Amino acid sequence: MASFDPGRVEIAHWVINEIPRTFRRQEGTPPTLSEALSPYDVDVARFFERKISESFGRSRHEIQAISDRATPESVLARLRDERSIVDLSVELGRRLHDSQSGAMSGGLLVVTEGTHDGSPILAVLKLEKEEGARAATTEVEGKTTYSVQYMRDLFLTGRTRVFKVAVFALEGDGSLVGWVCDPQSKGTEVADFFLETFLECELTNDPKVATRQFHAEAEKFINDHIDDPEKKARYETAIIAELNRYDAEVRLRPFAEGNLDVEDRSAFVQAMRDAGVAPSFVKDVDLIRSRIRRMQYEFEAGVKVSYPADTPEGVVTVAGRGDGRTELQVVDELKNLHSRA
Amino acid sequence: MSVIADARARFVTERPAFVAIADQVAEAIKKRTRSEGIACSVGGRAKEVSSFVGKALRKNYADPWTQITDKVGVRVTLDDPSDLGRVVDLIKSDYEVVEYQDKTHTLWEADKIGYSGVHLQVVIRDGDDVRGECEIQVRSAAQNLWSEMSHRLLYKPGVEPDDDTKRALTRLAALIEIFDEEVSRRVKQMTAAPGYQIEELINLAESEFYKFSDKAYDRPLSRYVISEIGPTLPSEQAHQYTTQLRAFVAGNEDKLAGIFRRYTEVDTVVLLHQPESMIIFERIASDPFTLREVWERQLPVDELDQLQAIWGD
Repeated sequence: MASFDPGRVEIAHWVINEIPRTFRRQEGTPPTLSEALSPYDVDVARFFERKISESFGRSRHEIQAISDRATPESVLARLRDERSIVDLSVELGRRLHDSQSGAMSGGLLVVTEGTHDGSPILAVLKLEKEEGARAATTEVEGKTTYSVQYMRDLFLTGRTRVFKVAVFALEGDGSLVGWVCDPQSKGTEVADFFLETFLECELTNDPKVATRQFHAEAEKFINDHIDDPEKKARYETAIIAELNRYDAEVRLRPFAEGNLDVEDRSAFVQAMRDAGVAPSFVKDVDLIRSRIRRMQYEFEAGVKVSYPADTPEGVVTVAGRGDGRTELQVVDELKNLHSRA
Repeated sequence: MSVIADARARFVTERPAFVAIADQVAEAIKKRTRSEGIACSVGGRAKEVSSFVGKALRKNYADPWTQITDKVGVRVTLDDPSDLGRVVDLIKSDYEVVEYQDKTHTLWEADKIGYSGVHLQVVIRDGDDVRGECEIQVRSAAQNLWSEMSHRLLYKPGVEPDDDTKRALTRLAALIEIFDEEVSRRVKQMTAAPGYQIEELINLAESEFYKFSDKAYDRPLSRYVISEIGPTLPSEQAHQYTTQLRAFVAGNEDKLAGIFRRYTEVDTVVLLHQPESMIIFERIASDPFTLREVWERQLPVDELDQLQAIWGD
């Protein structure tokens, strides 16, 4: 499959399993695993499509099977029509329940199938059950009022949280390809329960390489597309801050939204996309650690000014001058002065 | 062979090339005027062999091949007569003009009925090589009608128009001029009216929307939504947005068809069943950040979230 566009997904049917909340080393409630497909409802089908798209709009990572593991083999067998979706759903429900560790919030495991541009896909969603209230008009002593019914098992509300989504499809050569949202691993150091333990898959892109590519392309965008020196400085600072922040992921759209002026956001995202930077990737700064510690300005006359990325605000300021040149100002106590090669 | 026989034989041989030039120039002018937002129809033709020979004999040309300059002709018929100057400027900037005649207000010329509109003789090149010449006529629809009518009445071989016919044509010409001026004035007044741009956008969106849906929609709602998201559109070049939206729809036809098929029976996403969904999808695809910023000021964010999720990508 050349590319995956969630707007082209059509969900056809699904099986829902309830996975209860569990606590480590405690005898929990067993999961409720469906023995048949849920009845089709067009609104529900569209709801699942939107939830998949919404999740991938936030974060999307290409994944691949870890060799010789059971879950990818089972998914592959279903996509090849070698087993039933209900069998697969029961297997996945049991696996998720049995492999959960620590205190896991309860939820619904939805195993759903459909097409992407006509090719078969299989999606696994973990949804949160919610509490809520429903109001309905009623009459009390002949007068109109509202009665409110408390509900503790809502899950198809517009704001239903999708914990995790994974979508699988067949590649042209018959192998398995997939996408997952919100992987929680930090680099390769900590395993992501949903991705690695449950789905037995791994990220296709090396986080170190993806992070280095983002850094290089984002700086290239600033140097090639932004003229205003003050803006250049602000954007560069934002990139360095993003890479130094203790977050597992970098997501291009939220990054653009949070750090760039509105007129530059689309151009930035498009430039990253054109350069092949993934829309979101797990961050690992191993290959660029030394480069994101300091900021450096290099001027035409050969002057270079370099300073730590965490220099307090106001010490270094950058501004554009009317004549098109850049003015960089350092205001601080002078510590020492020396010549260098 | 005689001069006319030579010219005829050469014209028969070369006519297919003239047909190709006519098509090429007409297509180029069509694209150019469309991109500039000028409403007009453009047609091209190579002269018929019989017409070529008839003209050569009638005019008794010494060198018919050179003297018959309308072997290739393109006609631009304007919806709004006041666009004439813009179209002429476009042609002048795109082609090498060797002859220019503005006969808009010249009715009689050398005791013959004059040409109505503007006539440009241009050179068509292929790199440095000259492929030929083309006569481009630029007229209003009314001038076109008058011109065809007057030719039908006057150019019957061997029949000289009487004074009454000449007088009738003069009166008709005056009417044509009044007609064109009134059309221009009304077009100007309508386009300057408040809400015109919004109505035009709705009409544009509707023409694309009905390629995928057959549902009736709420036009006041369209007015409200489009007036709110208007600032995200390239308003100063509205005609270019027409081209942009049409290209977007054409480029995503199968995806849009899939979305509307899946949502035919789903009415929970209200704006999907409105024509402005075309514009919203186009904006989501081309500049989602500006759209969201503007949207959040007055419109329900849930609705945009849903449309964005439906569009995906």
